[in-house]
Amino acid sequence: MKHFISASIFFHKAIQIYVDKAMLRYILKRLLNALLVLLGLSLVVFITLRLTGDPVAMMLQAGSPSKADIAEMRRLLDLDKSLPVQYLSFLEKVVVGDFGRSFRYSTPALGLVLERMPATLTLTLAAMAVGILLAFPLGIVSALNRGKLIDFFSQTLSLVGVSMPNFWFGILLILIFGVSLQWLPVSGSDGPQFLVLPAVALGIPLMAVLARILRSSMLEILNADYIRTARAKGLARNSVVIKHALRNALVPVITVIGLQFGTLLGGAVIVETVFSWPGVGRLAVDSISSRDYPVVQTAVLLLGAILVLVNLIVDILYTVIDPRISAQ
Amino acid sequence: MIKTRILSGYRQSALLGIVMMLSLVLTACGNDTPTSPAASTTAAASAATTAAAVSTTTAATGGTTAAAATSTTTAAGVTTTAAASGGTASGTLTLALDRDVQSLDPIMTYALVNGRWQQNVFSTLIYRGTDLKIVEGAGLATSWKFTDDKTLTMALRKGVKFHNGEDFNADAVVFTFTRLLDPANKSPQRFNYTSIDHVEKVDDYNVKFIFKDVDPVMIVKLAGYGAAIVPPKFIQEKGNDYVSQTSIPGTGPFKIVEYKKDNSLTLEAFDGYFGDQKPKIKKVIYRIIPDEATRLAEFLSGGVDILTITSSQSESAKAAKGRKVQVVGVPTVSGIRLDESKAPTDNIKIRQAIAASIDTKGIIDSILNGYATPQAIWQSPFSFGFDDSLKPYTYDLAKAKQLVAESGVPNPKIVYDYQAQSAQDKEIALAVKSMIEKAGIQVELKPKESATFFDDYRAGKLDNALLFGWGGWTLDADNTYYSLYYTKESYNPGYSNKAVDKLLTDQRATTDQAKRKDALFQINKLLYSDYPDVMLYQQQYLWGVADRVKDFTAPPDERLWLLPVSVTDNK
Repeated sequence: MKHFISASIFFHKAIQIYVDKAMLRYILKRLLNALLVLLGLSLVVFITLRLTGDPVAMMLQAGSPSKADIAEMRRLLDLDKSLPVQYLSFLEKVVVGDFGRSFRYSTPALGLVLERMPATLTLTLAAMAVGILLAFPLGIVSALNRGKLIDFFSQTLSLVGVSMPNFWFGILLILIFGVSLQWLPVSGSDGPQFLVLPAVALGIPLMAVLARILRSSMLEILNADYIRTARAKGLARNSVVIKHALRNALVPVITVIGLQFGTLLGGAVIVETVFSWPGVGRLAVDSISSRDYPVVQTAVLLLGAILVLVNLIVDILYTVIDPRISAQ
Repeated sequence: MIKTRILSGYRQSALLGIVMMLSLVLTACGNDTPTSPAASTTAAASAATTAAAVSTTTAATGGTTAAAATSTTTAAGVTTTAAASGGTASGTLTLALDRDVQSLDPIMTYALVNGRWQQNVFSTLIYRGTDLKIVEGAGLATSWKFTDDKTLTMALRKGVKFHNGEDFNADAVVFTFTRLLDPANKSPQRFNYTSIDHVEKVDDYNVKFIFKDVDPVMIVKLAGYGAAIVPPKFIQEKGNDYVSQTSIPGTGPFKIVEYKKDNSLTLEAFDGYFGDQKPKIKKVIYRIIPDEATRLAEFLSGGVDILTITSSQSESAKAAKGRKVQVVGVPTVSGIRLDESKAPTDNIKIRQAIAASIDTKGIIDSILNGYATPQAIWQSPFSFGFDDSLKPYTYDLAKAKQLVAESGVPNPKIVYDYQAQSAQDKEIALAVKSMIEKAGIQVELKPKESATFFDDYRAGKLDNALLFGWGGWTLDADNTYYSLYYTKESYNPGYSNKAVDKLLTDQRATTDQAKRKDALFQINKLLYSDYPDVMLYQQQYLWGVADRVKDFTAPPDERLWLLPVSVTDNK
């Protein structure tokens, strides 16, 4: 609680200091931009989905529908109208928050996606936490011990981490910790212990990427003049590494974290399926394969909105870390 | 200098603050979700998992704890009719589903996997047993009679109650079918029942079905889950969205306790079940596990008692202690469809050559580990209209080469489509390609994404040959033959035979089963000599079953019937 209050105070001060008029204009401009991006996204999703197939025949799989049966169902779902008419009617409804009803669940698509969003965000953030917490010590230690055995070990670990496919690593974790050792549940989502394996499966590739970026970024900065000056001043080694080198090495790392957020959401699709984690990714994949248009559209738009927002936050964070980068 | 240092301190803290705030906000969101359920549910569910895990050892060491009568009220704060009226149901059974149930409403579901739970919650007017035979008087209708081809009268069982206490009677039947047939409800089950014009209440326990068209398969369809009888008052009060996503009472041996989307469906024994036998298991959990490797891992670690496995998983499942595999033939039959409207498969000699070049037994042994039976026609032995006098085409490479030569087609080449997602279909495609090519016909393989495959199939855009599997839940040749072989029908690539069309139409217009059987047998013979397909095999399903489960018989369709099933421990 104490930490929370102090964090909030700093947060407010940070806003007072940094959110000036230029910044506000910048944020507004970026938000408008985001709207255009989402509009474009909606069109792309709308068209590509309809190019890939028809949901109706799949819905009528419990029997052998005649051509007339299929046509009737298409009419009932308004799929017999022309594409522009369907798209405009979709947009018209989205503006008032109506994303349509799922063909499979027969309930509002927005509700289905929102219900699963916390599960996906929890998994993504947990994976991010795993990735960041492991990458920092690994990257720093590696940079400080360049060319030594520990560097080689850490580099190999990163290479393995970045090369392993999510689903394969996930199944490996299940076999070791779920089936053989039985320390953790194999799959499901009924408590915090269920989060461990999927978060590790999703977080390790992020760790690998971040550790490598952090290492190279640190190495570059450790050779900079001001670091030599700091050392020459007689500052403690830890102080030089953390306050001077690490802080300056963070800019590329933060950029990568922002970019990797999208990768994590993408990876979550596979990890959610392997670990039976009830998130948006899994819903989206199921919905794509059964051509549940309203659900796919909603999921893509919401995930797109989150990604755009995260990138905006990352851009604002640059100015916080490095005042030389301004909102202009 | 000092100022800069303070500011930099602020910057660092601000960064930390923003990250923390974001985490807190998002974590707070996480707590409000159905995926982080109420504490009691979580406890119950994880207890079940642990219990099942422990049971592996117990079962393996031969633990046979008797099913003691428990009156403890269990799970998840259930408030429905207390099962404490001396019921002997005990223990928990956990099953795996490979996809979410999506909707609890019987008229809104269409995935086959729902058969695994639905029959245990809802009853239908007609009951069809696990041997796929209709048992007269075992459903909600005690007797029925066609007074003419378009009128069916039914006497209803008295004294039956829904799980919520509502009475089952003629009003419930009329309501169920009116709701199913109402286009406004957009039911994907509706088209199976559109031959019904309406249902009339004669009195509280007698109804009359009035048909628009003669439907000889209607009795079987009335045992299908689209025709599950639902409670009118409950649905009118709660609305369609509630019954689809939260809960809905039926009259079956188990009632729905909780549905967690993409996670699990939990049922509990219903002591008021109308049948003579009462449920033996207290609680049934269906866990939704989409990945097949994860399902097997759950089975091996004791997290799941019953599931279907692939033929490649059978050895691991059999080798595990306390686990067995049941093999059962299913109504689904697979074959290669040959399009007669495209060259060179328009030439019967080429079609015959393809048939003679394929070594079906080799495919079954090497790709399906022996888990399939060769078939001659597109019907399984379960089906009305199946003719076992017809034998699969013989594998004879020399004859195939000779037929290619006789065809007069120079350098014949065909294109073969299959569904790319299925590893098994791909293996079969590769095997078939090498077999057909040995006969002198070039084969180009074209993998397609499933939905695209079916779209193209129905639009007639697939190529010379396509790999396809189909059963038909009504177990009546009419169900699939009409779509597969009637000229220009939805699943007919290019076959057209006026005699077949006429026979198909004629058998649909009568309820005289002897006449229908005769027509279907004639169709079989015509198809057998026309070579519209090279039939491969009747599929078999493999069910993994934990030893702690007793009296479970793997069904030929996916309709699991859990009433007789028990578990050997109280976990």
